[in-house]
Amino acid sequence: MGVHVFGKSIKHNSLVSVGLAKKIFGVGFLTAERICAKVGIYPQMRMNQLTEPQILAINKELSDLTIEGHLKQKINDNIKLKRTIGTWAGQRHAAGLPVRGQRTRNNASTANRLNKLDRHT
Amino acid sequence: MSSIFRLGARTVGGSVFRTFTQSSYRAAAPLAVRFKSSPAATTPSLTAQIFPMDKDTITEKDVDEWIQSLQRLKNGHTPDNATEIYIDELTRPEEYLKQQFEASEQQLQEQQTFETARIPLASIPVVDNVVNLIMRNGKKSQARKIVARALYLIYLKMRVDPVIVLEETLEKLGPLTNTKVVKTGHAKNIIRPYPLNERQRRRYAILWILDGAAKKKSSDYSVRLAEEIMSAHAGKSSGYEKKASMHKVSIAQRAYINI
Amino acid sequence: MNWVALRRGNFPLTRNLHNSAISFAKANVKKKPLGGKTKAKQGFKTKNASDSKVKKSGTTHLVFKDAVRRLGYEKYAPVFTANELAHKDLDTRVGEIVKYKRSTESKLRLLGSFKKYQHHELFRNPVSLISENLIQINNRFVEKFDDGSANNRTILMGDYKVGKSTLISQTQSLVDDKYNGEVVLLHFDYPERTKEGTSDYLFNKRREIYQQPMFTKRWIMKTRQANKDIFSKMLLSKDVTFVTRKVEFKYEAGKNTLYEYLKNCHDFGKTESNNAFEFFISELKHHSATYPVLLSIDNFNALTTSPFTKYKHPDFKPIHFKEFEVGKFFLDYASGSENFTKGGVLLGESCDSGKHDNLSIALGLTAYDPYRASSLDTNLIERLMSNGGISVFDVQQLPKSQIRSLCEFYHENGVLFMRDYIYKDDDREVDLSLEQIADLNYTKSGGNPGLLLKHVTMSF
Repeated sequence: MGVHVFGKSIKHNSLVSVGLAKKIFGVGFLTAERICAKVGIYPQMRMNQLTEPQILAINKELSDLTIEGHLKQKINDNIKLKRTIGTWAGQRHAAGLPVRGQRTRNNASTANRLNKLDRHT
Repeated sequence: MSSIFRLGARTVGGSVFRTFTQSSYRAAAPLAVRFKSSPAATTPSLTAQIFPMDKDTITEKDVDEWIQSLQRLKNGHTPDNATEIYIDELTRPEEYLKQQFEASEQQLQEQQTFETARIPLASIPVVDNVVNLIMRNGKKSQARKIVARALYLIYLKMRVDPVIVLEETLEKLGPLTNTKVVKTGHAKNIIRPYPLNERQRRRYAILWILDGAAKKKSSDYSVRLAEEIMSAHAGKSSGYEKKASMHKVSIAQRAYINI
Repeated sequence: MNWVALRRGNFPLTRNLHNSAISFAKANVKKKPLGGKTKAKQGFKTKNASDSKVKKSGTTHLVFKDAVRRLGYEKYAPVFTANELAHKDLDTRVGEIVKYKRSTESKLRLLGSFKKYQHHELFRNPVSLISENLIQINNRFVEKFDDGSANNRTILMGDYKVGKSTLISQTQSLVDDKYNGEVVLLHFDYPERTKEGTSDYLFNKRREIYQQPMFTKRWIMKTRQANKDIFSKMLLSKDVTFVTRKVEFKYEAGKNTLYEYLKNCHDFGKTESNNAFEFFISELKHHSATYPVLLSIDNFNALTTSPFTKYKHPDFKPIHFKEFEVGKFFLDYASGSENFTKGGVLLGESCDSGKHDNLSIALGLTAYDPYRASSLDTNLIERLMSNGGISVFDVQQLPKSQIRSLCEFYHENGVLFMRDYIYKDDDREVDLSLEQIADLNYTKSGGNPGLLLKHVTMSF
């Protein structure tokens, strides 16, 4: 059971603000609550209670933000820019190592996992 | 006006003032306890209590006098006027703070009557036993709450004294014997039955009830416990099987009973 | 005593060794399959289908507080006889234990006056005691109904479990009896619901106010059912038209009743702005000269403690409770800026909703401290202090004689058990008198009826 908002299927019994924040890349809890306030969704509203016009209104609000693919593209572009101009941060990203001076003798697993030139494929 | 006075007094009064504020305040008047919704108590201000000059309000003039006296005393002046004597006395409060109490004849008699009086236990021992077995990490009040709620539910359903229901259940469910392995030193060890005393029996019964309660539906411990106690009281509990198997082993090994 | 019998007596059930062993002997034990050990699984334990499906037994899935309220335990309680609470000769009946009039009780049930945690499940019907508090509230509040609600505003304050909410329901019952049912009872048992964000909300542009259709609809339904008789007598003062299920209704002044309007008008729950609630209140106001109105709001301090709701304006600023239709109604009548010609406003305090100087300053219990002004809602305080202010009613603890009569009543109805005093070494003192038990309970509860009931039923 899911409610489709912005091309994402969100669980029907989650709060609207929580569902948006959890499912949509680039939307956190605060942004989600702001969207709800703007559209006029009450705080305890659940996903399955949304009407069609409300979903459309949420979609409209979301389309004004840089989220999902656009945001991912932007992040990738930023990393790529750093690499092409040859900055230290760009090099570290390319090497898959921590960018902000953390130690690498051990514990660099998060950087190893995430830091790539093509971070969001 | 009064707030200005307080400010001045605090800065000038210095250590003398601050040290004895609390104690002399307590000596001067019984602490006015203000309950949440009672109207504001009409006690004189704190300063007026410490500085009792037979006046309802303290004027700037009095403050000046106080400050002047303090300054003169600091410079080694011997106290001669009322204010100075008062301040001088404040530096030696021991005499005023002495607590003298002598019990009256009547109080002594009363004490004697209570010397032999016995104090009943604060809680019922059976219930306490259950509470202590439920308790985890020393959270006794939480355990007490669970048991009290469970017994309340039992009362609501059965409308008899829940403590008696609990007692009866534990009596019914408690095993009579258990077995222990005795090492003989040879190849074969002996399994020897031994009788359980009342406390041990009760302990087994309670633990089995708690086991049974874990299998109930509700997410609330007290509701689960209440349901399990009631079903055990009605003779339906997995504890009875455990008890029977315990007895069965004991009977099988009855040849080894040591009398 | 049963205890002693238990200790000495024999239990006929399953006490014989040999009997129990035979009756519970197991038929067959499943043999392990030959061929050695089964291979132990490696790695993390994953959730199997069999693991997640543990068979659970038991009759209820409810938690304690819901189980107590919802499982209908009161039907197991013995039937008791008690006189009904009546307005007549009230002064002479102090200390008497009473039940509510049958018609009033059903009204109060609909209104939600009987709340959770009041231990109503112990008795067949809700019971209460005529205390000195009730006499006082009768003299200070009920007798002043003719002055109008703006001049007749009282807030009940007192310790935890001292009986503030019970006093509200007693007052409602008293008023109902005094006016022979010809009184409108408006009750909000939990006004927090208007601000915790569980109802939808929309902005009424014409009146510049937020409406909460879901909350209003439910409250109107309760109020309509409870006040059915009186609303059926009220003729509308203005013509009104509305559309329900595509049928247009045209109600004429002096012809149709308020009950018909409330029954057929579904505007209260509509998700578009409307004036139905306003119309309802204006009708009550119009009729209040003949039919007095008792507005009771329990947990009123929950509103003043944190006046801002969970709802947000489109610019993400929190909405004040007075910007809502119902919240404005609370404040208008609690501050006396609106008036029912006959009637009163009775507010209740809740000890669970926290304390704030907003209320205590408004009631004149605390002095205003300008240095703390930033944390105060001065506008709200001024509103509450206007029109002569709200008078504070201190709900007092019960005296010992009344605690004793309560204990006696509980004992008669099987709620209070006279358990023995147990000493060390299993010594006990049997045959205690009711006097001793009453003394003990008075000491434990300090005259607080809620705590008394808790000590009697839930302390072992």
